[in-house]
Amino acid sequence: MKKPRTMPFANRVAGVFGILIGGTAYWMTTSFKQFINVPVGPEVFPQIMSVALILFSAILLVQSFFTKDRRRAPTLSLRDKGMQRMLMVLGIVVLMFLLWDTVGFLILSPLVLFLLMTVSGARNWATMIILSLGITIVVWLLFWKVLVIEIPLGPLNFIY
Amino acid sequence: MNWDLLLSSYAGVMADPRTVLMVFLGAAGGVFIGAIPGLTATMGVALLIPFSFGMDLVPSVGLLLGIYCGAMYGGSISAILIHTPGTPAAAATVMDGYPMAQKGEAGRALSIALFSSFCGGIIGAICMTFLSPLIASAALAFGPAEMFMLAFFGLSVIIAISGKSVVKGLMSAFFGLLIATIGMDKTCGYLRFIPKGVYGLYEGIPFIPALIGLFAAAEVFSSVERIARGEQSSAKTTLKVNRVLPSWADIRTIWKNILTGGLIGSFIGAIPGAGGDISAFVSYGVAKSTSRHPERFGQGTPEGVAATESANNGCSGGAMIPLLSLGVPGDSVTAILLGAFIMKGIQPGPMMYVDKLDTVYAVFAALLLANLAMLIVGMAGIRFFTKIISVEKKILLPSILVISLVGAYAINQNVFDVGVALVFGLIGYLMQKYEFPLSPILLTLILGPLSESNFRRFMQIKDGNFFSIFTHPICVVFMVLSVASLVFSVFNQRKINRLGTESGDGEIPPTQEG
Repeated sequence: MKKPRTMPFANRVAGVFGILIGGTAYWMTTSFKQFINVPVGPEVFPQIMSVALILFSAILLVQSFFTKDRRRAPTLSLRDKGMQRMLMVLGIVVLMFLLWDTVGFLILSPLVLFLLMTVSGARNWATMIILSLGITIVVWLLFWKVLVIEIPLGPLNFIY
Repeated sequence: MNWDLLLSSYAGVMADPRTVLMVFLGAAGGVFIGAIPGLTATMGVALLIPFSFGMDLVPSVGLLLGIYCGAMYGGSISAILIHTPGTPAAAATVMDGYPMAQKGEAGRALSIALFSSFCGGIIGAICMTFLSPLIASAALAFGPAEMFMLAFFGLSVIIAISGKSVVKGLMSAFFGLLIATIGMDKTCGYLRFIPKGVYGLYEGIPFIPALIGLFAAAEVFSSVERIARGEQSSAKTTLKVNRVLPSWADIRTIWKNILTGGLIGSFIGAIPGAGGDISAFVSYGVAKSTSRHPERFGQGTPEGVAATESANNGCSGGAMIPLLSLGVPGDSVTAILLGAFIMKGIQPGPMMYVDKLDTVYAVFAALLLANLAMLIVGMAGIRFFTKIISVEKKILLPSILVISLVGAYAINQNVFDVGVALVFGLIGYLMQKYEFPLSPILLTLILGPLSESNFRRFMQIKDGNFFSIFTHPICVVFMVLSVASLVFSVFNQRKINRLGTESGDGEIPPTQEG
């Protein structure tokens, strides 16, 4: 059986990740344009922040080897039921984002709400259908009529 | 001060039914707009400006001030109930407001937020009435060096909002400061860290979608995960709200935080370019540093909620000071108000205090009335607001997610912002999971661009001579305050760690199954 990971291990991974982000950002700043007669160029602030991020990531990394904390780290395993549900929710909203303009809110939102409610564990189908449609229409009307914000409707854009 | 004119102007405003009605309508609309993530006070005021065209000056300004004050409080409702600040000014309220709601004290948290917002607003209005010329001249002395040091002072509260691990808090903060440099550099117009064709990031990371992602989306992702594992109940919570105002015991605990927060908000609000978000974080840092129980902050303490809410509402009065006495708006809402004044043929500025003193006093009265309206509307709504968390989680969570994403879209009406909210949702989810605090990212996204642009402007003016900053008295004051804040924060953190060790927090049992 695989040994569960501890928080210090997770901190080690986070430390390495922080160093990589800081290092990449610093490396990118070296190709920034140098301006004449500008005492503090566009590269200075990101460089300071990158170095500081690397420094504190390294401190976390070192700390993780000396801590007595033995708590189990939260898992990112795809076999975990919680992770599966969370990824399903993420997948549904990413799909909503990708189809936002083409399919439109009035068609997309009830479907997304219904799917999200199903993934969250709701099983009262009639209530779920009514709420998905009701919430969509109320939000759409509110943004359109009260706040004067037109959410894209895709093929139903003629309504505006 | 012309007391007779002041009193007659106040009486005139309070006795005018049209003004009273407009202020109450504005406050109700403001609370509603503020409570929806993504919609800000600025947007509310801008939306309702056309409705004020046909009105006289005082009722129209009253309507707009009602929205302003209402939205400032409204932002705390979603911050407390659903872990999503309705407005940037309520970002700091999440830190203690949401844990209070999680403990079953949502009604108490809302009543404390409401009462503190009201008191903060009144302190702001009093400062505006009596200290306008004094504060305005101090605000006018703020150049790039002073603004940089103000931002630096704001950043000094990072340790105070870092939670259990200062190292993780600082990593979050520097990550936030780093990503705050994405986009077009304001001094040279140079594009930094932007892949070709990603136009949505030219102006930097869009702040409100990032805020919605970090708090709303991340919280929904985490909750769905916890419910699936059986670590959190999906059943509806029955919540009984016995009172709509805080108890005397609570008021005795929070009055110092309210007073300090109100004054901090009034002062910071008066500085052009600084607003409710900065003042709320600064006030939170001060409250934690001076508290006898700093270990309670972040766990759901009324003092934390009171400090942030009084500060962000104190800003409404503060921001009016440079508008009326100098003709310079203190924030984006007062910039729109400046337009409203000009449309009515009145030019705010020093001459307004000579030629239109009755109008100045009427505006003071309208702000006081707006705060009173916010209190009444808020009291009437508390029982209704708390019903939100009584909804079953499997219905509530999807609704929050979809409404938040629409809110992220609404701010710029750009679908790219929805993507930003989702990316930040994922970042926030992972950070929360591995115990990295989220508030430092938010603070640095606000203060990063402010500190960088002003620092570089100052260095440009002084031809690279940084040490000339010590010749600016305001900068020296902020430096001393920053050092004091850092020392207090470190001292408090040691105290918190010691208390945690004594109570055996170092050996927390496993959080979940792998």
